[in-house]
Amino acid sequence: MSAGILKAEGLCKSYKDKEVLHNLDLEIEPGKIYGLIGRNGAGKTTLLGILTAQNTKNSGSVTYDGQPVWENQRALDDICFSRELQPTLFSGPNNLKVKHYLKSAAIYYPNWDMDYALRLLDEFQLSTKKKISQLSKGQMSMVTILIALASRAPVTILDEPAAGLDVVMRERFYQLLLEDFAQTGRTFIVSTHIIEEAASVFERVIILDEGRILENRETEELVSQFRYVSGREDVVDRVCSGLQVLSTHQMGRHKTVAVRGDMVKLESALEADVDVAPMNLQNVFVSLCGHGDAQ
Amino acid sequence: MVKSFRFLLNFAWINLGADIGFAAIVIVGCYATGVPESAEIGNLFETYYAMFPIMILFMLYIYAFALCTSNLNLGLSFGARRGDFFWALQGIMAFYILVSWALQAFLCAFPAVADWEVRDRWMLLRLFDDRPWLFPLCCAVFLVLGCVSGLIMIKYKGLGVFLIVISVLVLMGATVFLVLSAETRFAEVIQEDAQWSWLAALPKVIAGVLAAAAAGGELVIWRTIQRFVVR
Amino acid sequence: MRGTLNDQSLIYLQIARMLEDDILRGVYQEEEQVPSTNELARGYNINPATAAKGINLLVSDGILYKRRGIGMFVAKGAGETVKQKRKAAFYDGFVKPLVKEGASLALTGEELLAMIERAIGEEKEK
Repeated sequence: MSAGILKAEGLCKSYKDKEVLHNLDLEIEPGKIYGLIGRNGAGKTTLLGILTAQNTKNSGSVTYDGQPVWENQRALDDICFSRELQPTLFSGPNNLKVKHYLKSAAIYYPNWDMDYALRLLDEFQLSTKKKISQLSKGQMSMVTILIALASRAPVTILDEPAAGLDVVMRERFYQLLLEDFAQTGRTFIVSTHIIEEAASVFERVIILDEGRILENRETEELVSQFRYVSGREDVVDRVCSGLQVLSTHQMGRHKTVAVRGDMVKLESALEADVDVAPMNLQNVFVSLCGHGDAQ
Repeated sequence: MVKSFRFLLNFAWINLGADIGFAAIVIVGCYATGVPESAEIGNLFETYYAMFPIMILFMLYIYAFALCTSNLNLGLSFGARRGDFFWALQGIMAFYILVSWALQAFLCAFPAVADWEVRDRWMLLRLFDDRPWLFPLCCAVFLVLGCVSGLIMIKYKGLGVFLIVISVLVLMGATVFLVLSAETRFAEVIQEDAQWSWLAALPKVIAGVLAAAAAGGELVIWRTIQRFVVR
Repeated sequence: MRGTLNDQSLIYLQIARMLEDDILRGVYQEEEQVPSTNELARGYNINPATAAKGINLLVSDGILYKRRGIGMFVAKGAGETVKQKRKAAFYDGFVKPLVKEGASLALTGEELLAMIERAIGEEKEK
């Protein structure tokens, strides 16, 4: 069960006249947990759909182990894309029973682990007889997680698995994910809104903003490049000259900026009377993708 | 392809099981209301028995709705190959046709086999004796049209509804015509009167048109599956 | 669970610091095994690669070493190494901020030193 490299090059996608993905390059190295974060409408689900040949592209290429993913049996077998469940399907209630949903998954995923699925069903206390339209939002998330984990696919993608779960279940999800990863070392891509909680789980983070990849790097490396600098505005400005300023918040003459850059430079400027604080992943994300919205 | 076939089979069992169950209920109901003995009784069960082939066809139409919509969406979301899904779909349709054909043949033969006193009552069931290929063809057509209707429904709801109504009317009309042409002395009348001789070819023409429509529908299905975007 | 990890510092640095503190406190003696990458990951709900980064940092500082097939162990003299490392960082990490804060409060050098002497006295009485 060795995963290949999932790669997108020059990917472009438009819906009608609107371009949603612009010349996107992405490479997913095997054996890592990736976090895919982006605002609503950034194009996360579209990107994931195209990577898994479940959506069509306008131009560019998506390959798995060197071969295009489109109609590629090996890619389709190796990759699991566990989507958010929907209570309505094609303008009608989704009357599929959980039992049949799982049965269908078992048919398609060659590495499906039924024992694991049953254990998770038990832990999540999910009734297989219920229809998807009868499930609560939390239960739908649990089914998404169950499918992803029990698929044992070498490359497993989860779209918003934590949405709808309460904080206790979310923590349990991160635990399950890490346990599975420790055991199998398979590649995970988790797309999520809930950034800071999940940050410690992601080895690498991909930031998608308005159809473009802003960042694709090791989480801690990314975060270490950012700082908040605050103090009197003229001092702050002096200290931060030469650094990339991402956002500014000012109250009277007190100014706080989010900066990115060479921290050695910043350290030497610390003789000045300013406060320097680290930023966490969520702070970094908001400063990169907030586009000047209120801090 | 095997995976997609097994996947679709899970749904097919349930649907066909419903048909068979319904047939069983109708037969039991006929016995319970004394239909086999008397030609006079015209109750619900008698009607359903008479209409059964038509009912099978309409059920196939309804079952086919899901094949290219929710089933396709689900299969692709689990990583089904599109080409494989198309051929598995053909296999499932063949399965549906076989089981439906068997069911219809069973119902036709049952009164004789079960030794009913009054057996020669339902013209509709006799209809297919002359042309055994007709029922499977109708099944295929209803299946394909059901698939296509479902597909169009999701994209253009208004157009979809319009198409459904039209196809239902046309199919009903064609069916009625075929029934009449066998049932009444229509056929003989046509042969006698040269004025109407062109009508003799009509059943064959209709059959030809239906077959062509089915083929066209298959093309639409293939294309749609290739370009489908999973939700 | 997420225990003592906060979001004030990079996680792998927190892991390294925590292990160093434990060595100083005698939680782990020399030549004793420390938790594995997977145990740390599981214990704090973090990615194993992050835990590994923290451990590797200590390995490169000579505080931990790897016994193949068994795990990570506290190196000989690790306690001293940690103290030296902390001493080197003490000036920039504690003394300079202390002086800076004192300056912003307009405390004189004598007042600062007096406070330090008082604190040393209190520490001795413990």
